[in-house]
Amino acid sequence: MADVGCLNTDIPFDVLSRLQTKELLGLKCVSKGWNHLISDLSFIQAQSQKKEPLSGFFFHQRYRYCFDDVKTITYVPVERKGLQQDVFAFLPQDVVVLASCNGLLCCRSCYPFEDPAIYVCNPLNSDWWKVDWKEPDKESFIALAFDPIQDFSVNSTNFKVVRPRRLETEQEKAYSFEIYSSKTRNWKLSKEFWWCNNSLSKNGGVFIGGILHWLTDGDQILTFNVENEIALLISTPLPAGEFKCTPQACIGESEGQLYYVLISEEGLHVWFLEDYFDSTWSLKYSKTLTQMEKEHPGFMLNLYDRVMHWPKIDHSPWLDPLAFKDGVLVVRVSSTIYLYHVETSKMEEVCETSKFGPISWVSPIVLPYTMSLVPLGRKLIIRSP
Amino acid sequence: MASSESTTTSTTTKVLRLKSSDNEIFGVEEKAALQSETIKSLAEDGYSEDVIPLFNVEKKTLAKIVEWLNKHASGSSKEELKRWDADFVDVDKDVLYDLLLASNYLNIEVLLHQLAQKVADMIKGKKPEEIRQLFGIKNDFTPEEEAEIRRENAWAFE
Repeated sequence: MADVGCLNTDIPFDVLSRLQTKELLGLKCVSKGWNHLISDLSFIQAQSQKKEPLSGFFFHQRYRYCFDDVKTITYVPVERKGLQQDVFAFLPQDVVVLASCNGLLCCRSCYPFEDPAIYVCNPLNSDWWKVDWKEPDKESFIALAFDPIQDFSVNSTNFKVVRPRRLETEQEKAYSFEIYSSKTRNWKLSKEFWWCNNSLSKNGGVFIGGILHWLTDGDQILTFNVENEIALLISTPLPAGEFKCTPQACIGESEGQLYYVLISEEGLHVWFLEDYFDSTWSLKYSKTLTQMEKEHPGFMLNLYDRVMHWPKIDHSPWLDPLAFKDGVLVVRVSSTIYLYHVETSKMEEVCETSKFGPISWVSPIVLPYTMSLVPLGRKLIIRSP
Repeated sequence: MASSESTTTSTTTKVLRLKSSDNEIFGVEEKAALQSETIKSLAEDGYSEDVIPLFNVEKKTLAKIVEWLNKHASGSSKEELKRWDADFVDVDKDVLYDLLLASNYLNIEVLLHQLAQKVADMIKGKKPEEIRQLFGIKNDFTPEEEAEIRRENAWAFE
């Protein structure tokens, strides 16, 4: 067969744009013709229209008391063994990773810093975009909104960075949102604010269909529609008060829907959101602790007692769901991280949390990652008229 | 294959005559032939009474294409068509290549997508060296250039 990469037709474009990003990375070194095609903006636009599979998770360990940030970010691929810790070496300073959205990542400068900045970057092509980080705040739940189908064309890559800001009065708390748009290159404040007495917790900023979601420490999920700038509070499927232990939860996306994962003395429960306005949830999977223990005796032992009593000894729970994406749950059992495939109940050991940097009993930041070829930053500036 | 294809009812169906680059003539019912945008515009240009010359398609490839056009105009069920298509594209890579070029030239979008998907599936999971071998591609990178490209995002796929 002749070289499909050098044909004077649309055939190579049509063939290669059907492949996933990970495949294409390897194919760049087939020949100059293939490399050229795979780097072409209209090719990237066609290729980024389809859904990418989950590639892996980024982990970032946190200290509980220390002011400085841990400088190591660890990438854990889902389909093979091996940890990568130099993925962000292309950025001008050490960063903490905050959000991940359709191939782009949002990071901020590590404490202590000289030049506080937020970076939106694509680690696959080492492209980045610097955003002013006014009033730096270590505990901010900054999120990223980027939909390759709507926000990327051969002329521009558009994204938004959203920062929830908590406003407190004597009796009540509320949230407003600061929004940075790459189009205007400016921050602005949402017109309204929304009452919410809970604090944001865990890895927030799950982006689904134009809406960002943050888990709170109450029985609510805070959502923010990036386009029309309206927030909405959704109730979680079950209030935490119904359990004897302190249940642990996380949220995530699968098949374009919001999922809520809960671990309690009743076991593992996974719901997806059916209706935003009614907060209607459907239970998708459930498993008792005894069942989980039986299936994975090598990984889990005496779960019930530990789930019930551990938090009284130490603040961090024995069993902690950290992130969920495309049916894969990242769960910490004691000090070991596992990937749990909820549909098949398959469980894989990833590593000890100590691999992510200094030992800390605070749960690490965990972000799911899917790949994308979309350019940013320097190339984007050249493209602007 | 089942031989129950001739049962399309009595109304006289028009047959277009397609001529391959090596002068073989194929009679194809209009309804089937017009799935090709190229044949459609040639027919509109007044070729329909006459023989439609397809200068870029040899008879062995045109025979396959005609087979596909007939099948896709036969009213087969979706499931049956899916099975049939899977068999149809399960051919040796040189035949696949000729079919790709022909369906591109004839502008038969559905077939072109099926063939492109088949080639994409062949590429999946193969190493660059295997791809070069499969498609007869010359590696025009210097070893340094190749190493540089591999290094760029080795963390993501190696």
